[in-house]
Amino acid sequence: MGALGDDDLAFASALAAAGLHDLDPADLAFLRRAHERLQRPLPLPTGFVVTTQPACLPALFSEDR
Amino acid sequence: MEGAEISIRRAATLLRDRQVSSVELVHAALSEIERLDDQLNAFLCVYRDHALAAAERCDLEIDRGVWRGPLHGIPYAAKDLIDVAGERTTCHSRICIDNIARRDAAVITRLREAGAVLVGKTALHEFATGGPSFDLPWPPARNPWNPTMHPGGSSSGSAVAVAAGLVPFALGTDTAGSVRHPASVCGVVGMKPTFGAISVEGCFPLSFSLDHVGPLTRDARDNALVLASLLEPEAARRMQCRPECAEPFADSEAGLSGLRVGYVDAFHRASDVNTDIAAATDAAVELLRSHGAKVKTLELSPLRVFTECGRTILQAESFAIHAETLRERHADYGTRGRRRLMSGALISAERYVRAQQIRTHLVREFLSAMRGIDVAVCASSLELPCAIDDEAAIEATYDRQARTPFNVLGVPAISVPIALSSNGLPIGLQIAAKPYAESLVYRAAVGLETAVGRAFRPSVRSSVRTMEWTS
Repeated sequence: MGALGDDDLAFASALAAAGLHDLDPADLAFLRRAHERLQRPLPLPTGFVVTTQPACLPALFSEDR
Repeated sequence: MEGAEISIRRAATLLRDRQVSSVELVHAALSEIERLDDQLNAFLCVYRDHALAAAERCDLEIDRGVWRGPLHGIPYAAKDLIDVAGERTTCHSRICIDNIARRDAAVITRLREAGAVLVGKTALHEFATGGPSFDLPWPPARNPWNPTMHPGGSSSGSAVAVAAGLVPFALGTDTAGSVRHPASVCGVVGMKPTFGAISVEGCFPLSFSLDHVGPLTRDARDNALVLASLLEPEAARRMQCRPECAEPFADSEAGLSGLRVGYVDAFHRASDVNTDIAAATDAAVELLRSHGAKVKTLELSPLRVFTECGRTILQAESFAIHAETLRERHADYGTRGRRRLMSGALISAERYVRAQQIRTHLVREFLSAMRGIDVAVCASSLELPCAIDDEAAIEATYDRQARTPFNVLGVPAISVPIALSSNGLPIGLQIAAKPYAESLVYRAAVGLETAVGRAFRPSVRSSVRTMEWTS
């Protein structure tokens, strides 16, 4: 068995931190693909500012009044 | 006696005039369920005795002159993640097979107070995620237009029950399109109101900040009646809704003339959409224009920005809900649901917060873009339903939709049937509006239905005596 790369370790750590053990190989393969997708950053809307507050929908709706 | 396929409005008139009884309506629903549900699997349980007893009480009240409103004595069904006191809430999962609800969900209480009669609980995708599965204690619901095809979800059974004429209306929940998806592909009307307008108390959550409850009906006018009965009082006030009225939303009969419509065509044009769906969507928008609506292009962020934002929030929040059970009993979940739910374990807090920040930006963008526009319209699905047992196609088409944006935004959105595809499956158009502008959504939906001018009835109902579709 080869040495684990950083990405393998990150994947294994995430599952361990979540307490998910003894998963079957097909589940692990599914989660591995999900993990790979998550390495890509979220697509940002044009003009997005990183200091924007997280959403609070009722407060945002009231901005429209 | 007109049968289970009667519209709510027609049934309400007949009930109030004592030309039909609630017991007769409930009997008709139970008889259609008995006749058809072996093929459709829409129901996980049917409350025959309780429903008939409740219908008898309704009839006694009406005989005494007590009239609770347009839902009094009307049978309905509810997705089986909505609690009914003393009954099982299974979430279509082995995990909850012995889960008995201690009290009614808020929406069940509201409908009970409105006099509606619950006849049973309907099938869903396990815990409202994943897709149709064959490794659960109950089979998936079947699309009444073609039982070999995906019925949409996750509120599959609710849409199937309404489309097949088993009940006049049903409740679903919608976290990333779970009312509007099955509505679109089963040919019924499915509405997700403004976030928070209907209480989700007593509904098993999937994602706290995206979950909505919504009604499925056979037409938009019936939909407005049911929604009006479900609203929290403050939401009803903000919508200027009068639940006791036959037309609870003031604008709903105002017609299409002068309606300002923003067409979000980029959602499907940039997504290699199915050609039948593209043609039907464009044709429906042309129909709006030809009936007097003022249509212009509405530009929002790309669909992918909404989809990734919504998926991040949904997966992170749903894992938080299921984490303990996944750790202890992951083998008791179905394969599809288990994998979807476990994926949330991989989402970092940083990514979740970033998604919520993006969401703030998207809401402000939408509110700004909607200035001078009454409703936004766009495609619902980007693909026609695949085969119900095609595992690869179900995975590949899972995110091929334009419904998630309106969960991310928390604004009202409805799916209305507009056409049949070349292989005979319904196609829906979405109509959305700013928060609390449900009245404009219904105005556009009623106008569009009238302009389309046809009923959408699956052949499974052909042996059922047909009822009027609009009245």
